[in-house]
Parts: sequence; C-alpha cells; structure tokens
Amino acid sequence: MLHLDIKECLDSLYTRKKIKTFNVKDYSPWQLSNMQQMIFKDETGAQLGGPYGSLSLACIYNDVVDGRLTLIGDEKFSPQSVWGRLTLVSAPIENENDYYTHLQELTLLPLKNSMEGVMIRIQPSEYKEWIRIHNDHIKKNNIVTMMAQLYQWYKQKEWVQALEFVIITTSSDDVAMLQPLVEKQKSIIKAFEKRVAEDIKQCDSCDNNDLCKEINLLFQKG
Amino acid sequence: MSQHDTKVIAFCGKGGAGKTSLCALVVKYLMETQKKILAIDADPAAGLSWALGVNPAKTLDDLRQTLSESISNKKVQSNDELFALAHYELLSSLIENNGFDFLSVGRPEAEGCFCSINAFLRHSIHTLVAHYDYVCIDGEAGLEQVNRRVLEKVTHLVIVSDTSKRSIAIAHNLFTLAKQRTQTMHCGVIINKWGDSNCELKELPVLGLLPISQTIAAFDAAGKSLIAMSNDDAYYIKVKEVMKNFV
Repeated sequence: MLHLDIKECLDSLYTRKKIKTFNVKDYSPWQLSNMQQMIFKDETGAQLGGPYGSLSLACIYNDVVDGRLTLIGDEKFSPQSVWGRLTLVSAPIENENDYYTHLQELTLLPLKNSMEGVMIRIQPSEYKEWIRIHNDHIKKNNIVTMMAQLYQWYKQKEWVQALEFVIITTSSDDVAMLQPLVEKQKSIIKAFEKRVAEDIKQCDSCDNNDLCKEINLLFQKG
Repeated sequence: MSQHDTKVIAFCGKGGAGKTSLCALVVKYLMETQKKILAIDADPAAGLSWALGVNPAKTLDDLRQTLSESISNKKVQSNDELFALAHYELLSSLIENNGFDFLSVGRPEAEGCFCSINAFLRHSIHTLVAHYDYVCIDGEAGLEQVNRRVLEKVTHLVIVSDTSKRSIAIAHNLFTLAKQRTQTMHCGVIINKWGDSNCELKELPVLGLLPISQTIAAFDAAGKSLIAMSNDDAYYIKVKEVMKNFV
C-alpha cells in the first residue's frame, strides 16, 4: 500500500550519505516574480533535472513533519545535477475526486507561480521536472530558499494541512529510489480514473481490485 | 530573461532559389550583432540544419506526435497538463547553440486533425519567441505553411527568387498574397543568382540583387556550415548590406 511504500522509500533514503535536514519555515523564501521565466543555456548558472534525469512526485501522506526538508546532496547549486523531489502532503481526502484534483494541483502548482531567475518545466505524465537557475541568482539563493518558496505556495492551498519535501541531487541511482513510488502512483491514478469513468459492479472481477482496497484505506487515513 | 520586441524574418520563394543559404547567412550576420537569435527550419527538406551545422534530435513534428499520443493515451487530462507538456518538450527540442538557437519543424503532419495541438504549439512557440531579438524562419515555398505550422506573427517577409521567369512569377504571387494578408508586415524581394540577366522585375520591391556564389556551392559540396564562411566573402558582404537596410 502507498503509505507503507512511502515509509519504506523514506527509510531507504534516510540511509544515504550527504543527508541534511532543514526547516524551510526558518528560511527567507526565494523572491517572487510576476512573470513566467525563460532562462537560456548561456544564462544558466545551475540546471537541475531535465535531460540530466529527474523524478518529481507529490503524495498524500499522513506522517508529515510540516516544513521539513530532507536534502540528499548539497544545498548549494552545482552547474548541473540530477533532481529528485518527493513532496509529502497531509490533506483530508473524502472521495476519488479530491485525491485526483489535489494531486493535479500539487503537480502543476510550480507553473502557476514564478520565482525571479528560476525556470521550471514539468512533464506531468512522466513525473519529470526541469529547473534552470539564472546566473545572477545562484550565489544569493540555494535549494533551501527555493523549497521555502515552494512551501509557501503549497501552504496557500487551504486543504494542505502540512507538507514536507525530500530532495535528491546526488546521483541517478539515488533519484531512482523514487521510481517504485512513481509506478505505484501511476497505477493508483489509473485505478482512480477507471473508478470515476466506469460503473463497476463486480469488484472481485476487476483488475484493480487490490489497488482499490488500498485507495479505500487512503480515504480512511485521510 | 527579458521580453524583446522580436523581429520575425521569414524566407519564402520557389524551391532552389537559395532561401536556405540566404537564411543561414542572415543568421550569421545577426550573430555579429550579439543579439538573441532563433533559427527555425520550417522546410520539410530540413536544409537549414545542414547550412547552420546543427543536428536536431527532435523536431516540432515529433513534439506534435508526442502531444497527440499523450491525449490519445489519456496521459494528459487537462489543458494545464497539455501546456506543461508542450513547454517542457519545446525546451527539450530547442538546440541552444553558441550564437543562435535552433528549432526544426520536421516533416509535414501525418493524417488527422492537428488544429487544437497546433494551437497549443503555436502558443508555446509564441511564448518562446518573445524572448528573442530575431527569429529567422526558412519556410516552405509559401507563407501559409509557416503561419499554420509555426508562427502567425511574421514581421519581415523576404521573398527569394532566382532569375527564371517561373521563380519571378511565384515571387509576384507571394508578394501580392502577403500584401493582401497584412499591410503592416515588411516585405521585400531578393533576386538571387543574378548574372547578366535582363529579367523583368515589374513592380517587385527589390531589396537587392545577389550574384551567384561559388563559395556557397563549395560549402554545399563539402557539407560545411555557412556560419564558417569568411566575413570577407563578397556574397556575404552583399547579404549584410541588403539585410542591414531591411531589418
């Protein structure tokens, strides 16, 4: 079940070297911009994810320490690195629609807002995220201030009770530790869509029966 | 990062008139100005990538297919997701070079209606283009394909013709169509491969007469990028003069 999968994933990630924790609420967030950013290669001081490998997903999860950022890697920007982002959100879930729309909002939220000198591109169905930081902004900011701003955006959603991040910039192998969660998330969303789209009367004969049992547990936990 | 008052220069004209070489040399000229330049190869023959020495792994047509398949497979469920996907894929299709960036449109669309996807794509391209000073589009013969498949807002249209009667007749037609379409677009004709010909140019707004270039023929034969052409080349100097007055 997803909750156990997340716990297992977190337990594995916490054994990695170069692990640091921060409370993003203690940091000044990255400055905002009122326009979407386009940052070209020759202006880029740091590139996270994209062609260098990325996985980014948000999960509804109960056991969340609000504001905690677990960083596997360095908070300073390097010219280019892989990017793994797990966003764990505690939120009340009452029905299929809640779960689905919440996940969509969480995924697309970085595109609805803008930080000065930060360009974010998202490939939602493949859970990819591609971030470029402008040369002029790499010295006075770091990953923690960027996540502090993301935290503020997420918290503006009234249904977000608490959230925390896990960020991975160390290696593709470390980022790949999020892959089982991505696969599980994909299968859960697929099952959700089937539940919403079809009037299934014989659960025992449905391919998604096991997943649906997990989905029902999500509601109970939410 | 800032938005520009972008000049979008499209090159049209009969096949073989020299649009692609001219477009490549205009990119070379604009590179001298240190401005932000995007070159778009909108000709299915994809000659501009050769002329500029770039090798695109992905084309806008690939992107169009990706978007179409994502909709068919229900991988994207909302317009917001489709926009996110289009912006991501467009950035990954962009070749960011030293001196200019490059996009290839690819082969003509497969069967089926791509109107809505083209609308999403044009929006994404429009957003991207706003960050450049100059966009140079090597088009197909006519302007309509450029408008439909790439970008609606062409500010400067260069109609390229050689000295053949047919090519000049096509230039006339293109000029008439362009003027019917918009009064605000700058439009001019370059007569390429000009020799001792006494062809009748009638009321065409001729920007310049360019000679036959042996250098271009040699570069083409060797598969070399025209960006490497000498700044002292007589043909290139003439191209610069013509374009300086036009853009």
